[in-house]
Amino acid sequence: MTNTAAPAAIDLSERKTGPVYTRHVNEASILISDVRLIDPASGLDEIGGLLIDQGRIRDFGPHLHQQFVHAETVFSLKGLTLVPGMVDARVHLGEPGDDHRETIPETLTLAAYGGVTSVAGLPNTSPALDQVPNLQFAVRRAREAKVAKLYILGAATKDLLGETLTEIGGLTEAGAVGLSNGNVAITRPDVMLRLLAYAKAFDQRLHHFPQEPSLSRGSMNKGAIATQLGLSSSSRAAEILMVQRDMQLAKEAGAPLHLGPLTCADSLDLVRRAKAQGLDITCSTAPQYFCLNELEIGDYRTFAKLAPPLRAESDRQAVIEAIADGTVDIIVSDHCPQDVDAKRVPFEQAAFGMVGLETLLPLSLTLHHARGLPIQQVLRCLTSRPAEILGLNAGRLQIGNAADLAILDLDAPVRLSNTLLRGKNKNSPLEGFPAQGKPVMTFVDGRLLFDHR
Amino acid sequence: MFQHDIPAPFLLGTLDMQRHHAEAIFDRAERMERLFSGPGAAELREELAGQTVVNLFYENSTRTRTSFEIAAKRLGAMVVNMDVATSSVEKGETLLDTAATLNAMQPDFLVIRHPYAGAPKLLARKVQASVINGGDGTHEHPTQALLDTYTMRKHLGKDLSNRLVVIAGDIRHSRVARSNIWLLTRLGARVRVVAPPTLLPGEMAQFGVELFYDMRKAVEGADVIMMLRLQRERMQGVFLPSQAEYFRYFGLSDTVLERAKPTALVMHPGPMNRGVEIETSVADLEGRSVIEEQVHMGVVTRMAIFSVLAEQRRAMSEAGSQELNA
Repeated sequence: MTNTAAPAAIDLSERKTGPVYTRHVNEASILISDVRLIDPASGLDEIGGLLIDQGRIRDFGPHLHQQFVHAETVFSLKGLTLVPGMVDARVHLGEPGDDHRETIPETLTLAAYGGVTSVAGLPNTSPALDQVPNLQFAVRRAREAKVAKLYILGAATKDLLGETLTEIGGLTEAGAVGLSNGNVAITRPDVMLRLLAYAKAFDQRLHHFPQEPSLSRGSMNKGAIATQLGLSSSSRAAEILMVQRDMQLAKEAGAPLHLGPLTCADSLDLVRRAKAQGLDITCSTAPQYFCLNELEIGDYRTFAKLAPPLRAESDRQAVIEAIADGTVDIIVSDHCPQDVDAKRVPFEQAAFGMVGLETLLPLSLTLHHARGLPIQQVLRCLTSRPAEILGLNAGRLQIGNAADLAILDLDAPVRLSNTLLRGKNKNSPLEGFPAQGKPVMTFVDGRLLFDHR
Repeated sequence: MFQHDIPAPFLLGTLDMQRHHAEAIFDRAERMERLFSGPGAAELREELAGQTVVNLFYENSTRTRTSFEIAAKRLGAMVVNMDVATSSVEKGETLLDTAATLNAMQPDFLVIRHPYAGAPKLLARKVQASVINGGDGTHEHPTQALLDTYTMRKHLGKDLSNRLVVIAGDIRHSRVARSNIWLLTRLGARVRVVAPPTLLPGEMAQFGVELFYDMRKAVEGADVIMMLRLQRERMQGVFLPSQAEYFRYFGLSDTVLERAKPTALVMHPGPMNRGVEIETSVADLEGRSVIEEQVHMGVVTRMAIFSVLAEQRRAMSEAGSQELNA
């Protein structure tokens, strides 16, 4: 009998020089007690305590109480909830090249405000993160910032042109936690197929943005509203076609593949069926696609100009359904700051994207509060599942792991407002959106980064 | 028209235009036409005396710009044509910076034509002048629709209800079609649109119009046939295979016109592509083609629009000063 199992990936464990964040550890011991502990990875949901020592989780559980445990600092957080720090697998970086949009330290500070302790940055910077030195620059900026942790999705093709493969081995050694072509799909099927195959050698998953460019050059979703507003539009078919093609190529290459953010019923249905067949396909969506629809554009509101575009109400419902039945693996913010000059122009000329790191949690929690999804399921999409897809030892409560934690007030009513956003660019279409639940404290490596109790 | 977040009375589109607003403009246009051709011409020159009209055209258009210019001058206004090619726009100034600059010069009217949908509204929110949309991208061209409708009323009578208007051509990319559809349906007319599927989005049906691919069927019983200009860049490529095939199936020829009512009017917003969307013999057909008359009515209707907006501005400032005195 022949062995049909695929060969193992190249072992890079001794070569990796990737992000190491242990340099900024709070060495003091901290006890967080009387808190509701939720760990989606293990299903834990109990009142108890968590002890941090040397920046790591020393112990946690219902047995940890301040009467019995000594710690230098004690936070008694009755009524609040402790969860693993969130992992956001899709964030646009303003550095290198576009500091006016947002610097890396600024992005990571916003992440901390949002309860996000690990960020996967996209490579579509200028220059693109398609070479080891560029990637190292970004990681160094992040280390200096000493806030949330930055990981990089290395560029899948040179200059993101979709023509030639990057040095995927080198990028992996430098710490890339996945591959991405930014906000441009790789259109050539032959390049895509080779890329998927080659990346297997380094155990890298491609995070692809599945929008066929020739059908997605418009400013908003194709349909009645675009016709009325006289705006150019992008068809759902752009997404459906690309998802279908990508999955076929992943199947042929025998490679894992991540698709997202997905926004419409039919493309989610394709993923649903591929998963049922046992393919290693994962996918994401973003809160804007389950909280808003294309009507948000109203009178040419450029803050609602997103890529992929906001879709119809029926698609929004389908996205919620796909999260509920597990078709959608993870929720990402797709954080994309744009400065005023890029948005205060006629709609067709405006840049795509919205800021999302600070609103990721409150918007995601609407799935629990308003749609009745189990809290564990919603949080899993924000913590352990993205960590698994990125191969990070994060997103779960585990003794010995870095103490990257978020403390939440799960029930606090919040009316989102752009005046409350802390970044220098506030391009969010969610002004006035009612939500429930917010992050109140964030710890990274045991350091308390912000405290809004 | 008024809106809470726009400082001055404006004319941005026909989608939200109420029937009585349109009729006020038509009534005023009648008065303009009467006075203009009689001894009242001097009286007209007092209407906008001392007021400034700025034509801000981000797209080339000799016809529309000239029409606005003549209309304003006949009412005694001072007209400034911002030549975009030589202005700071070429140096990268944004629309809103231009708006702020112009606003500081305090014009009374801003006529804007822009390649992108929604630009006039963006401008209107930022200036004290009354903004008139002279065409924005593939969105609206309300003054064209008003002048087209005014021309129809002259021939068909003031009541357009149940009159059948056929609009043919590049519906997808036409702001003239959108503005006409919204205005005509509001006035009770039946509207049919006809185009090849690549130029006719199915969602057009939501506007209460009938969709046709067959030109000959579409024009049956028509009171008006409005042909749209086909942009040269669409004649070949992915929208259409060739100019010849377009004319064969979607052009207005004598044989197609025969299927409409014997009195049916032929209209075109200009400039025409003779032999592409309309046959020369039809374009020049005496008694049926009102294409030149449309141009004349364009001036009259735009005079009426300036006049009505000026009146609304006066009413607003009087109301404002009353509030201050109270």
